[in-house]
Amino acid sequence: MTEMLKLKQLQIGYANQGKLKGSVSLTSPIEAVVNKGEMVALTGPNGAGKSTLFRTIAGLHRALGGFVEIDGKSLNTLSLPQMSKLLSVVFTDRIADAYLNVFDVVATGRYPYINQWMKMSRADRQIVHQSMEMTGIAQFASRLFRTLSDGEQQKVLIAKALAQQTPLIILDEPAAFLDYPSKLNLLKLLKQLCEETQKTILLSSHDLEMILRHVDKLWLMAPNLPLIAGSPIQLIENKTIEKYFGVAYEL
Amino acid sequence: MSSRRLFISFSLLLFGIVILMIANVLWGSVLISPKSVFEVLFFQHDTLKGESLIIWEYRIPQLIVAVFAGAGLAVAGLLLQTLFRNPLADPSILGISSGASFGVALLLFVTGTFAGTALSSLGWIGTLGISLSALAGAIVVLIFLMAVSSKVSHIVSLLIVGIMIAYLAGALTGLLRFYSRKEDIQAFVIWGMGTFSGVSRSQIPYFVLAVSIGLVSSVFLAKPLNMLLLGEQYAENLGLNTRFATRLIILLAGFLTAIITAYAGPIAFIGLAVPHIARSLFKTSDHLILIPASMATGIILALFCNLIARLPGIEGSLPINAVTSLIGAPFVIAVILRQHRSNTLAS
Repeated sequence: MTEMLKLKQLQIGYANQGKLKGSVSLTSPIEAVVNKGEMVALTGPNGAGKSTLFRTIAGLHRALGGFVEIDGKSLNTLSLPQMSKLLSVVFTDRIADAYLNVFDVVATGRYPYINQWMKMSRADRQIVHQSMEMTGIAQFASRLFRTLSDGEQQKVLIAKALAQQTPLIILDEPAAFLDYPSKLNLLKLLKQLCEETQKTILLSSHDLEMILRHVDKLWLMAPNLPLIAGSPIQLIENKTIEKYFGVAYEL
Repeated sequence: MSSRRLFISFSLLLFGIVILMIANVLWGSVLISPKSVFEVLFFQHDTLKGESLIIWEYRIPQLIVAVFAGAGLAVAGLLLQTLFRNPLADPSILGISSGASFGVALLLFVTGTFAGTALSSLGWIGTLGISLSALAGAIVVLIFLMAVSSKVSHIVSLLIVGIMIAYLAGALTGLLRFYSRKEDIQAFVIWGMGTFSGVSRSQIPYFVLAVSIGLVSSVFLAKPLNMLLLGEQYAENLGLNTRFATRLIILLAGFLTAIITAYAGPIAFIGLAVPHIARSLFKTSDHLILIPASMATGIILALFCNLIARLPGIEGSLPINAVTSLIGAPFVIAVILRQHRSNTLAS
C-alpha cells in the first residue's frame, strides 16, 4: 500500500516569534500514516490542536519539529506551486465575495495548472464540469456562490478541491454547519470519492456517530495525550474514545 | 459574462471616454467657440493666441492628468479592496495620502517660518516643491508599510497599522498647521482640495510614465488578486505566496497613490467608488476584467468631475475633492440600492 501522508515525529504548535524557546507545543510528537484511497477522520475535544495539525500538514503553518511527507516527498522540499498539485483543502473560512458564481469558485481549482492570464483550455473546463457533477452541484453552475445554502457551498468547495486534481484532500470540519441529511450526504459523497477515484481524504469532525460509520480509520487527539490511530470499532472497544473525550461512550 | 457583452460594455466605456475628452477640451470656465477650438487644435492661428494658450497650457494638460489620476486611483482602490477584503478600503486607508499631506505641511511650515518666504508666492518652483514634498512624505510611509508587512502575518494587522499611520500623520499635520503662517495654511488648504491642474506641462511626461508603469503592472496581479478573493488560506493552497503577493499589491497601490497625490493632491472618493461601480457594471469579480474596467470607469468619473468643476460661469475651477464626492456618493448609493433590489428579487 502506498503511504499518501506520513507524519514523522511531527510537533505542532505556536512558535515564540520564530524562536523555539518559549514556543507552545500542542501535543507530543505525532507519528501517523494515511494510505492511498483511505478516508481518515480526526476527532477530539476542542483545543486539541486539530485545525493546527491540518494547517501544518497543508504547509500553511510552520511545524515546531519533525516532518510531513506527502506522496513520499518531504513538505520542506516542496514549493507552494508543487504543494498545490498534491494537496487540496476545504476549510471553514467563509467566501463572501458578491459576484463569484459557482463555476468561478470551482474553476479556481485549475489555477495551479493555468498561467497568469487564466485562460482555461477545453480540458480544464471539462475537469471543472466533471467536478461539479461528481458533487451534484452542476445545476448551480451559474448561481452566485453566496446565495447557496451551507451544505451546497460545502459541496462547491469540495468540487474545487476535486478540480485541483490532488491525490490528497484535507477537510477541516466539513460538516460543521450542516443539518443531519446534508451531513450524511456529504460523508457518503466523500466515501464514494475515495472508492471511485482513489482519493485520499483526511477530515476532522466532532460528529462521532456520523464518522464512525463511514471512515476507514480514526485519529484521536486530546490535550496532553498523544495522537492515536486505529479502526473505529477497535478504539471504542478498548475504551480509547472514552479516555480521549473524558466521557463514557457506547454505540 | 459573455464575450459579446464584455465587448459591448468596454466599447461603451471607451465611447464615453472619447466624448468626455472632447467635452473637456471644448468647455471650460472661459468660453471658446467649438470652431476656434478646432482651429487651435489643428491649425496654427496667430489671431487665437489667448485661446491657444488656454487649450494647450490648461485644458489638455488637465485632461491628461485627470485621465491618469482617475485610472490610477481607481486601480489602487480596487487592489486594496480585494487585498483587505473590505469594500471600504481606498487609497487613503494605508496612510499614504496622509504622509503626503504631512510632507506638504512640513515644507510649507519650514519655508514659511524659517526661510520667511511664502512658498505659494514662488510660482512653479513652489508647485514643484509641494509635489516633491508630498511624494517624499508618501514614500516614507510606503517604505514603513513595506517594513511592517514583512513583520506581521495578518492582513488585518497591516490595515490597522496603516490607519494608525494616517492618524499619526494627520495629528502631526494639524500641529504644523497650528504653528504655520496664514498664507501657508491657505496654500495647504488649496493643495488639500485636489486639482488636476497642478502638473506643469514639462512634468506631464514623467507623471504619465510613472502612472502607466503602475497601471500596466497591476494587470499582472490579476491572478493573485482572484486567488485572494477566496481568502489567504485558499490562495496559499492554490500555490500563491500570499506574503509576497501582499507586499507587491501594497507597493503597487502605494506607488500609484503616492505619485497621484503628489501631483493632484489627496483626491478622495474615486478610489473608493469606482471599483464598486465597475463591479456592478460588469457583474464579475474577475480582476482580468475588473482592472481595465476600473481604469475606464475611473477615467470617466475623473473627466466628468473635471468638466463639472470648470463649467462656464464658475469663477476659476471648483475643488476636485468636493466635486468627486458630490458626484460619486449618490452614484455609490444608487449602486448599492440596485444591488439590494436585485438580491431581494433573486431570493
